[in-house]
Amino acid sequence: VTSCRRIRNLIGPYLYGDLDSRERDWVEAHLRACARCRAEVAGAQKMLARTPETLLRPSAEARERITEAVAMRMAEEPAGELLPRRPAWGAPRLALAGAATLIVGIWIGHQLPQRPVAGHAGPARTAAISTAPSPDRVSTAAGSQAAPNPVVPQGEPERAHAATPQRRPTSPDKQQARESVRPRQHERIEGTPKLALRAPEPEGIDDVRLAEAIRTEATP
Amino acid sequence: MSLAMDCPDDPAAPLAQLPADNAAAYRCVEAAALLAGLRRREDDAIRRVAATELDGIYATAFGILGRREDAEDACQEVLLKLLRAAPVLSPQTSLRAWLRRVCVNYCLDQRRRRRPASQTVSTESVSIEHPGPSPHEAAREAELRDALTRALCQLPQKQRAVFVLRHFGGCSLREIAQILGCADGTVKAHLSRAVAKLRVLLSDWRISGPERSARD
Repeated sequence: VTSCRRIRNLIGPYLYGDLDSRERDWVEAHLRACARCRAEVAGAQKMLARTPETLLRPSAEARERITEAVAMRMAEEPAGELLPRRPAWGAPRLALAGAATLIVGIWIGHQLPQRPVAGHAGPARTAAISTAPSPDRVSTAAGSQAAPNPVVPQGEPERAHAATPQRRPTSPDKQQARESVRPRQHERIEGTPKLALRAPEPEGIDDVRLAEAIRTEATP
Repeated sequence: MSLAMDCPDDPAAPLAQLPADNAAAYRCVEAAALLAGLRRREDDAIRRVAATELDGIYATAFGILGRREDAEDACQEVLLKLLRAAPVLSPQTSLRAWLRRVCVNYCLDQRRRRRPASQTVSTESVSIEHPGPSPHEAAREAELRDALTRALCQLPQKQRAVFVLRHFGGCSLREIAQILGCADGTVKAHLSRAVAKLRVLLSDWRISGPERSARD
């Protein structure tokens, strides 16, 4: 049965003489042994013999009609129309799609909740960091004066750690001692310069100021 | 007719670059000249193409669409597409395969757009286009054509296209595989199934056709 099924997939090309010699020998060997496939081939052969290849050819009138119509339409079309058509409005459509994508992207950006990106602080966070003194300055201030009210705000330790990278204390005592000297956002340790709430300036400006200060000191 | 030959792209290439075989060189020059004529939209060039390729295009379109008027429209569109594409065609392009591919794509697209109710063969397709030696012969041929187009319409699209291209379009299996974008084995299977189904579908016609006429 499997052989019959495979042979019947080759009967069409076999009748048109499109098989190579190996396939043709295989089909003919099977046909000699299988009466059903032989009857199938015989019936198909009769059908093809009854349908001549010229059956669907156009009449002379139809041929002339087609040729005349093509010549007429060819003459009607401008030369440019005969070239492959490309949409002239393709570029504007592309620009419109890009603008729409941009607008949707901006809208989605506004809809999303704003979160500080790791490694980049927003304005408020920048202010908090800028008011925080450096660890050595804090230790100096702590040596002269203890913090009056070492209250740890809820939810802040993680952010404070992120702002001033320190080693995590190994014991609760050390943690408490460190928290006691750590300044809060709303506090300013005496002796430290009062910093303005402003965003950190680019490094290039500091370099320029440093150069100006050196130049000022150098000049008598 | 075919433009597919072993020849350079440039029609104005020096003769030294042409193949050594004289017949191939002649066909190459002829194909380049035909393509140049199509690019200049010469009436003679399109008539030469029509003289050699129109039968195959028409039969392919008729077999797929099943209506004479649709086949004529398809022929017009395919020839106009050839004129439009002539500036970018190469002399190495197989003109026959290119025309058949465009024709098959156009016809299948037309069938998809057509409403299912109008996919039946119109009675106008029974009109006598090739008057035989006698009115009786012509009538039988028209009846056979009608029965064949009705049977073809009952085949799946791929099987119908493969059978029409092989039986009426004069394409080889390799050309059909290139036109339809499938493997040679697939084309063989489609052709075999189409032949088997047509044998069954046209077995009724054998009774109601010439045999009945002969009995009558």
